[in-house]
Amino acid sequence: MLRIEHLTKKYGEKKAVDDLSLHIEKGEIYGFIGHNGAGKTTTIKSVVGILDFDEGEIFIDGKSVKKDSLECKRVIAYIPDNPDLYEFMSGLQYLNFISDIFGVEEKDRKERIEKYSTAFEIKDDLASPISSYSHGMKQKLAIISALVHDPKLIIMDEPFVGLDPIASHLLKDIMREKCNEGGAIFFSTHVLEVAEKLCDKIAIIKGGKLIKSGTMEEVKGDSSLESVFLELEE
Amino acid sequence: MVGLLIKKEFKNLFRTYFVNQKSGKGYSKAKTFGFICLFVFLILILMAMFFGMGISISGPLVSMGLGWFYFAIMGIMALALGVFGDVFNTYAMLYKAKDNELLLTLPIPSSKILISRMVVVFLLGLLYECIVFIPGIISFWLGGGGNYCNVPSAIISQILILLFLGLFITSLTCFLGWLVALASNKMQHKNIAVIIFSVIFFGAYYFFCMRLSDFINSLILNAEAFSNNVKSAFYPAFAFGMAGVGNLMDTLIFVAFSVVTFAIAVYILSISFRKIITTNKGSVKVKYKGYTGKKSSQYFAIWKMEGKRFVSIPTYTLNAGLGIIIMPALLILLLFKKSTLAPLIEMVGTTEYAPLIPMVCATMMACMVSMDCGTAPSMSLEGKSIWILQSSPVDPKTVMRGKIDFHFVLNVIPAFILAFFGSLILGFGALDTLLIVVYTVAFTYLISAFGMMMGTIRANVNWTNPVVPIKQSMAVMITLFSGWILSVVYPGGWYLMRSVVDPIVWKVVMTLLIVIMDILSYLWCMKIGIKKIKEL
Repeated sequence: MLRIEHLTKKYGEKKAVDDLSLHIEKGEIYGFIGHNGAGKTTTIKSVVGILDFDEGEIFIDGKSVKKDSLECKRVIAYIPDNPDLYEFMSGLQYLNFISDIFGVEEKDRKERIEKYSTAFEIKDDLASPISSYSHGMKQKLAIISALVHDPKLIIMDEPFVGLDPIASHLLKDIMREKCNEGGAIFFSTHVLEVAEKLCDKIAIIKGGKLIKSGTMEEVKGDSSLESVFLELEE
Repeated sequence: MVGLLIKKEFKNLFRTYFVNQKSGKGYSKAKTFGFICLFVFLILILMAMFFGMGISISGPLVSMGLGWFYFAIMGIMALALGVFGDVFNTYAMLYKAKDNELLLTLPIPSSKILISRMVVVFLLGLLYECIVFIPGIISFWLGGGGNYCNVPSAIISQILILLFLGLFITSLTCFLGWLVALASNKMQHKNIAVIIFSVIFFGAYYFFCMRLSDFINSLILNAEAFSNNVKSAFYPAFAFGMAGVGNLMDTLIFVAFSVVTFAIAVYILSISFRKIITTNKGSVKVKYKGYTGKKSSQYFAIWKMEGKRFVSIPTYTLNAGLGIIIMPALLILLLFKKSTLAPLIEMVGTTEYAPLIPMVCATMMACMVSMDCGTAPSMSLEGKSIWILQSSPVDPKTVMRGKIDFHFVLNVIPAFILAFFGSLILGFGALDTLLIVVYTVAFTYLISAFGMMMGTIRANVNWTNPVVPIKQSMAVMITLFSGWILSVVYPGGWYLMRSVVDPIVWKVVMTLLIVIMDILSYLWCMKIGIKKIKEL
């Protein structure tokens, strides 16, 4: 579903991501961990087409992000680390805007908006302006907007930040459900316990380089993910 | 503490002009020099306008021994421009900054946050004031002021009142901004409060401007009577005028008056500052009544998004949409003033300058649509939510086209109506009417496309206050003044070359030139601009 091959991204002379390769198959939840400034967000932004990269290739569902950017974006959903949404819109207007951009049919968008807004308990707030939302509500709206077009691949940067425990739990269920339906999830997190319990595979990045990746068992063995991570970071 | 906060405010203010928003590095010396030159040039143009007005009244008034009255008039005008230029920024600058909550969490008294912002308001107000007052002072001396006052004390007084009038303007604009904040915080649709307030203010301002020429003539003819009225009924203006001609006691009174007013403004505003910036009554919860929505194409989704943003930020609505209100109002005015204009047109129509009449009308149209450069801040206003467009499967060309077309259509409808019916009212022939209409439509598109181009080149998505990209950006300034300068070339060029160029040929060539510029700006947006979106 997502194939990153020898990705290198420089800011000036500094390599933010250095020769990083990852393969994410359908049905997988892939966690991406690393300390602040390790290159997680740069990698994610390169995958979703926000940043151009210097070397390497990224393929989504077999299509090149470089050559076929729009086609790639059609099958993915991105949730950034900070839900900066259109504050001048209401929640519903924003979801309709995203649905229009992704060409979601009226029947489908109505059904999904009703379903997810009810699940995340923000249905009653959909008519209110986003500017009146709390950080958590904005995060929930960003998640719903990512789900409204039924993406094959969901890419999330720190998705659990700001979510209440119920919403966090719900998001984890949805992530698993999406993967069971044949989709894939690639997300970064600093919450290692969540990554350990939720992910099928994990990648650890340090100084822009991938230092370890594989199935959860391959990466952590008998130790906890936290101890492996701390060991690798030293 | 205040010093640090002021430094931060200035850093924000100047970042737009001198720092590349993407890299965070300063622009090259050549670029910076170029921007400064352009800025100074634009200021000088405005100053020249006020110098022309000042010089026409200073001589007669000074020779009548009414130098103080001259300064009173210039002071009132500087006050009007300072308040007019600053008031719409003030509300947003004082209360709408995105770092409000962050600053409130720091151990900083809210009054200090307020004062640091008032300093920026002061400097902007001072800039507007200087545009009127410095040419006013020069006109005074050129008009023979030196013969009627003590030169050293007059110079000292003029420097003092220049600075302290700026302080008074700050107090006044901050007070008005505070009133807007209070009113809007009590309303559910706070944007409407700001827009209504602003339209009333603009209406009064334009009424004043339209009557300015009559006012000056009447002023010179009835200077004695007017000055007596001012002296008896409006003493502060008299005191200000006396300070202008070097009366040190009046200067001190004015300085004290400005300082006291400023202190009162700081006191009143600081009492409610924290409450106002943390009150969000305008965001009353709206009851959700079930799904509503209609599927749109990506292009119209961009239109809808742009439209919602346009009406949700009052400063944006006013700055980029004032012409939409003015143009129909002008058409109505034209209907009523037709009989006044007819003899003038008839008189010029019999001279060799007759072809200038439709050209001047087309120029006025161009000047008006130049004011509505809503595309120039549009890309910057994406702000931190730019990721939505960058990561969505929408062709950047669709984004560009949607934004350009939205602002074009918004303006071209009233512009077309005014150009077409205005031409009919003024009795232009079919060819002139056609050329005015085509020129207006082409110019409106140019402002939209060129504004988009400048707005993309000079995009700043890292603002903390939307006023920065809307009112203080180089993109808006370049688009606005380029439009004005280009529009003046139309009649001005023909006037200079009237002996060698046929007016019809000139009009056609100028219209074609605008169309070519339309195409070039559009192509830039579609070829280069789309790549720049990704770099934001």
